[in-house]
Amino acid sequence: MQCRWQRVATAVGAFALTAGVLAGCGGGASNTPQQSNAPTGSKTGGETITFWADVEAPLNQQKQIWQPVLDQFEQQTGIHVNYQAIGWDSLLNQITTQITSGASDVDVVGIGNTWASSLAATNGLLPLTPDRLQQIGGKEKFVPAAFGLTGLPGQDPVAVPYISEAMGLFYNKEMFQQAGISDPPKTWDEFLADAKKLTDPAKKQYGVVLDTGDTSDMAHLFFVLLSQKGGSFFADQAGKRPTLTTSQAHEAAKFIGDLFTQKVISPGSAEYNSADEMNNAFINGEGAMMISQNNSMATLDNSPMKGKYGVAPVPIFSGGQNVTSHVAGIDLAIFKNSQHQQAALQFLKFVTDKEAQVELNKGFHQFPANKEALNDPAFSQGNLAVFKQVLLTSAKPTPQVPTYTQVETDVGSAIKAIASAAATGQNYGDALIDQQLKTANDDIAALSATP
Amino acid sequence: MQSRGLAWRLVAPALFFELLIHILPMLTGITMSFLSINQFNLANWLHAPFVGLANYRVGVSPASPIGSSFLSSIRVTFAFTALVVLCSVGIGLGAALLMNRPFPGRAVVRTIYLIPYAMPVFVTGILWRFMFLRNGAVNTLLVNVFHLADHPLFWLIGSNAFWSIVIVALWRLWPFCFLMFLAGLQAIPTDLYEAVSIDGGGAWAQFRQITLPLMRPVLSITTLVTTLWTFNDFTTPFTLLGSGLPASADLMAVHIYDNAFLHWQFGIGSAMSVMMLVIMLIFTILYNRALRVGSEVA
Repeated sequence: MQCRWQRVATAVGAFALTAGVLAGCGGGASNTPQQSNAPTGSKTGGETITFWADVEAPLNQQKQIWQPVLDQFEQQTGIHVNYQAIGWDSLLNQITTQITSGASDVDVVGIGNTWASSLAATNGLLPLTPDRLQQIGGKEKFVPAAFGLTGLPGQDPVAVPYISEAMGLFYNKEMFQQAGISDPPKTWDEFLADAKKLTDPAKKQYGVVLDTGDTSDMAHLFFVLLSQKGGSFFADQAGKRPTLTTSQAHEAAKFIGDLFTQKVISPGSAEYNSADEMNNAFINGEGAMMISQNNSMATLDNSPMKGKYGVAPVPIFSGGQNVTSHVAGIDLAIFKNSQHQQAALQFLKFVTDKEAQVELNKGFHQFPANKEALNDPAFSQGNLAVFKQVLLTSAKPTPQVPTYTQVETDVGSAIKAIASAAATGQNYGDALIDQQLKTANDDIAALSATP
Repeated sequence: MQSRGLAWRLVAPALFFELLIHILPMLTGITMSFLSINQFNLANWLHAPFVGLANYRVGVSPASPIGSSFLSSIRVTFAFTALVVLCSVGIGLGAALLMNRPFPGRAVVRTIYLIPYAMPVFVTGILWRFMFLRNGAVNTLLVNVFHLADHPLFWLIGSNAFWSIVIVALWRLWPFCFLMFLAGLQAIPTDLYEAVSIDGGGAWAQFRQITLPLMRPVLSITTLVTTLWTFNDFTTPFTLLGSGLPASADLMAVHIYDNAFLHWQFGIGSAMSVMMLVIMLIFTILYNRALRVGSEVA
């Protein structure tokens, strides 16, 4: 049992961490979008749980999508949900701070499914024992691929999936028509040939636009390219032996860097550090193709690009393995220190039941993680059908290792640096690629060596 | 005795909050720097293994990737701080001298000067990010309007990223210097200038013999404060470039944040924070001794 002074020290520690650099540095204002439906007066009667929601759409839209679901939940159970949307740029920090502090003011949180294994290792999320999982509706109600990324292998899950996503190739139909290209590319060779045809620097138009400044997106793209070449992040399931210095890893990283030297990618891609910036560049016609997850559709469909773009699976290398996406998605977890665990479990059940799944995912242009909901015709129409097919047939889960979030940072930073060097022409070459990958590999090996 | 008790009671709330808000977190941070905190013990970090000075050794070891990048970050931060503070003080002083004499529209110009300082920092960062993007306003001016460059430059990646953060930090900071210096200038009695003038002294003599000596306390304090702020700057590089800064712009505050929050190496991040704190303390002590900041007031 913790003594009082230990609890105080823990809380203070969390304060120090949040203050950013432990009183040694100035705090930083975040540009994180935040949104809340907290009542202005105090709530009387019934239980209230606090939910940190991940941001899946522009904030005004996001609120409109969530609110009816929260209202129905309150009507059915009498439990009020204090909903707070937390931007992706600070969500993980807030989660780690919450765990460090041991605070109990937040109950449920939306997490990127690739974080689940790392967060499970922190012991700060409530393990979903068979009994608790049964209260949510049982493992059987979920799509197996989505349920695969909910914790560490061999242990109770710490989350349940509520959104599934996949990666795809978005293309501008009008530009394709003007260039005389009838179908989207299926292989990377075709992709490069099409990208060259679509590039016209005089018109500031390029074959492709990416956000190579976004470490997370680059880690995912690199993971897909590496998987196509038969490589992987680790030689073992436990994640102790990273394999980023292989020839496959070199080739996968070089493919991204060479897009710049072959001048088929918008040079600005090297500076774009979020999918939002990439989406805007695609909407503005800076690139005829982009690689993104299906949630980009929410932005594109609210822009002049609506109806003018198509989607296809991400191309594969000739003779490569059929991996065109990682299994992307969002999970819901309960903080271990929550004082409202039963209410939180009820909330998880409600949100992952068929009705709420259909409503939420239709709104977000995403896929339900609930099997029955996924069969709803709404998710088999138009561009979503392409993503659904990818998710069910050619998406590969990322490694479920305790250090995965750091792995993603290391790998993404290496690819970002490689792309940056290629774009600026500063020291780009095989030596730089090898050096960046080796640095990431050494860092991950050191992390993985931690008991 | 009674008045002493009263004094303590009056000071007690301030003392309590000082301890709670500044001292306790700082001591906790120092404690964390001696522990090996990672995701496996995050929820119960008080029981993390004690590793003595190991985190400090990793932080300053040129042989380790973490150490070499941190040492490079210190160098970048020194260069950034020196440039931003010197230029801010210079521009602020120049602008204050210009604004010290009345002229029509002075109030309007003075207000315009203060806009960068009044703007929320993250708004400044985001606006400058848009302008520095490859297809943004900065390149449009350089390439299309003034023809100073043949092709658009990268300002947010590569070696130019350093100049981007310098420009934005300078843009934000100089109005503060201007404000401080203007207040200082307006406190100087005009008859002193008249006396120098009667003795045959020109504008330069007035500046050297009257303005600079009488402005010394304001100059010293402003330089000290702006140096500490700039050395600590997190928001400018973070909003402008995001996390994972290019090596050329890898300022310590964001570097430490990345180590602590993105790599979950909270012990190493804390050790780096303590080292940063020590650097600032040493600077402050040396600066105070050299210039006897504050003694002029007495």
